Amino acid sequence: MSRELLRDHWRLRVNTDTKSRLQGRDFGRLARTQPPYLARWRRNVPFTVFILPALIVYSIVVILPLIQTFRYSFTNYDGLSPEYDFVGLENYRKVLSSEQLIEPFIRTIGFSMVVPLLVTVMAIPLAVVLNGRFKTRNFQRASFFLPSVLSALFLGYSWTFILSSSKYGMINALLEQFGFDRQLLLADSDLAMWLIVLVVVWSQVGWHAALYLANLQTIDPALLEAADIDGASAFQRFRFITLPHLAPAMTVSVALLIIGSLKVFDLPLAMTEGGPGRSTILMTQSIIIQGLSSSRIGLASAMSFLFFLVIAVITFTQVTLMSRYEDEK
Amino acid sequence: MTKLSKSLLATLAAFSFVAAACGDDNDSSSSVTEAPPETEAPAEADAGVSGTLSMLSWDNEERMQPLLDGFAEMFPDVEIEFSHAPPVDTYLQRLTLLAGADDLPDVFNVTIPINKLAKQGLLADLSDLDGVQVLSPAHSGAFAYDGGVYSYSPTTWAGGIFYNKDLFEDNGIALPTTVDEYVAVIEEFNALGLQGLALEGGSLFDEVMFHYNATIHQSDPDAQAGIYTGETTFVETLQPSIEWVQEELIDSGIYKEEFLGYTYDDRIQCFAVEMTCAMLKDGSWGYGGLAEYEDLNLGWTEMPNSGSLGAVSPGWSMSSTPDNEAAALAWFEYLSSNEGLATYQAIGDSFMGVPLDYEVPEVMEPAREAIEAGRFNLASVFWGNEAAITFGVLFPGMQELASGDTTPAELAALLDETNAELIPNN
Repeated sequence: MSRELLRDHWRLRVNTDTKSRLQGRDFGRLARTQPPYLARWRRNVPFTVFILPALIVYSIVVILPLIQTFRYSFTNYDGLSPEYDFVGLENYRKVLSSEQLIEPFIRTIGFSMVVPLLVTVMAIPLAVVLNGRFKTRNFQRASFFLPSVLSALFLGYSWTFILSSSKYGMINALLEQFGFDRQLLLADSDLAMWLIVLVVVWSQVGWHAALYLANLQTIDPALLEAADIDGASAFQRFRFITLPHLAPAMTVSVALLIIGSLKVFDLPLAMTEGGPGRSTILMTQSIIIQGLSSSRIGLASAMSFLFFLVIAVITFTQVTLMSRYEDEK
Repeated sequence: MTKLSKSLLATLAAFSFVAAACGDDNDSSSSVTEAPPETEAPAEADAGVSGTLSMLSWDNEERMQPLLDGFAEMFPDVEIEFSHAPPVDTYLQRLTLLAGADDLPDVFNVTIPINKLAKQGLLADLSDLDGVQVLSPAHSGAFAYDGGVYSYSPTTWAGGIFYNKDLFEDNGIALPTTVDEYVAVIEEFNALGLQGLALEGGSLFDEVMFHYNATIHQSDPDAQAGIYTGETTFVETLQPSIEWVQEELIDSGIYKEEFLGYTYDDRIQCFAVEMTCAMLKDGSWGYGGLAEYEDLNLGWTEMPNSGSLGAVSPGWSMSSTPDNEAAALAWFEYLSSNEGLATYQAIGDSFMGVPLDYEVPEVMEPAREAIEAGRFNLASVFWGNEAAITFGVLFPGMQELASGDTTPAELAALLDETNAELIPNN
């Protein structure tokens, strides 16, 4: 019997024995003396008690506001007046028919597709490299991780200086130094959003690489060694050993990236304040503009609720698909 | 967004009441400093006032510190629970949230249309306070609602043109006094390899308001009075000014697309550090920072053909249900004292709307003269309640003009389209 089979055999025995003992001492006795539903209920009491405080807090800070937002979305509430009217689906009609309101919606969804893709594509190879053995490994890990620690506003303002269209902007100063023309950069309404994507990706790659790095370190070196002995190429080792082991981390990382990208607010605001024009206004900023600056809480609530649905659908789909991928592996 | 733009937005609503209260701008702020001081330092009246005073200010703590120190000296038993939100959007958002949650602090700055808060009964009527009774009609009228006065603002801000005297003198160029001269002066400097006007991302909004103020508003001050009742439209009243910006500033090359990415700091760099920009439009509060550049031979002049942009500054209001009413009233007592007023004036380089002897820097004397002669106004006063929504369309729209993403006609039409849904509310 091989070592692996022996190990599995012993694990099975231990699990079976433990389960039998537990059933014999506790649940089995309960099952004999009480109806099954009561036994199940009693078994769940400790878990429920532990969850209850969190559930209460969660309900107060998330569920109730969500219900309230849904209610306001059918009114013309302005945030101040206690008197407001029921307007039916008018706010939803406005959101879906106004170019000004729908543009940030579409832009945000695009943003939340591109950022996770780019971060993931860059973070995994980076994690593989940082998992190697070289002298400056710790320094490089810290360097890549640093941007994710800094305040988004600090990063935003720093990059505004770097990407400024003025001659005082760092990139333009360098371009002029080498005899090139200055570029519009953040003043270009077609380019500004891509520059924000670039900065967000740059700031996120290190953190997500750390997530993958943690998973990489759980891979049994014997597997890689065995593959190496069997003549697998570096790509094959990555494709058939490393990548499948990263699947759980990928599910979490991509979900975090999608949710974070959908809700992003501070960094784009610090970089462009939504400009030039409306070219970089994202959904959260748009909701705040409509709700608080323009005192149209009803309209902003409709935007928020639609946005919540989009986030829920996208995240649920992503987690389901990637969990299935994990299971297949 | 320029500081001037922010202040325009913040104060246009408050100023919208000036016209109603005072008839017109020309008599709105007259005899501001003629009368001798009437307010007395209330040091004797502070006995017994104690506890905590909650305060929300749109000036940060560092800027407010002289006032806070003065108050603490006069009312040593009152502890101030200070909070700050930066102007303008963030402040308004926070104030709206607090008002909506019925959790307003005892005293706070008011910038959003006063009648919305007053109508909801969220503000205390301050009209019986001694300090309020000596305010000029413009200043009390700015925050009047239904016979009461709901905010105390003893100061006025002025917007104008700071200019580099040396550049004008060395190049033999005279200050502009008309809109055409204004454009010509900018072009003259640009042709010399200098920059006539320091510009940034939000400058086009300032320029469209400047042009409207200098032209249509001068010939018909009530041109936009019916903008939210459907009697007139933005196409009729504002489109000509948007077209002027397009033709005279964008198409002529004065405003280049790259300026969309410039900030206030870039303007200061050009005007005060490198001294290659001849003019800089800003509010009177900009003087303090500019005065620090000793090599800059600074001057100030009114906006061509329109006096000064300006308005009664945002005021201080008291919650209708303050936790500590005595302390809140003490705050107003201090603010309206001679010491409080002098400190208030000094921290904002403002112009007073109450009897007070005070001095302004020599550079700013023309601004004081303009204010005291009533040569100040804010053309967008009629936007009142809906200012934020209109601003939210016009500000980015002016940037889209520069990037070629819209036209003056499209922008004016969009303003009217947005306005159409506001008309039923007014």
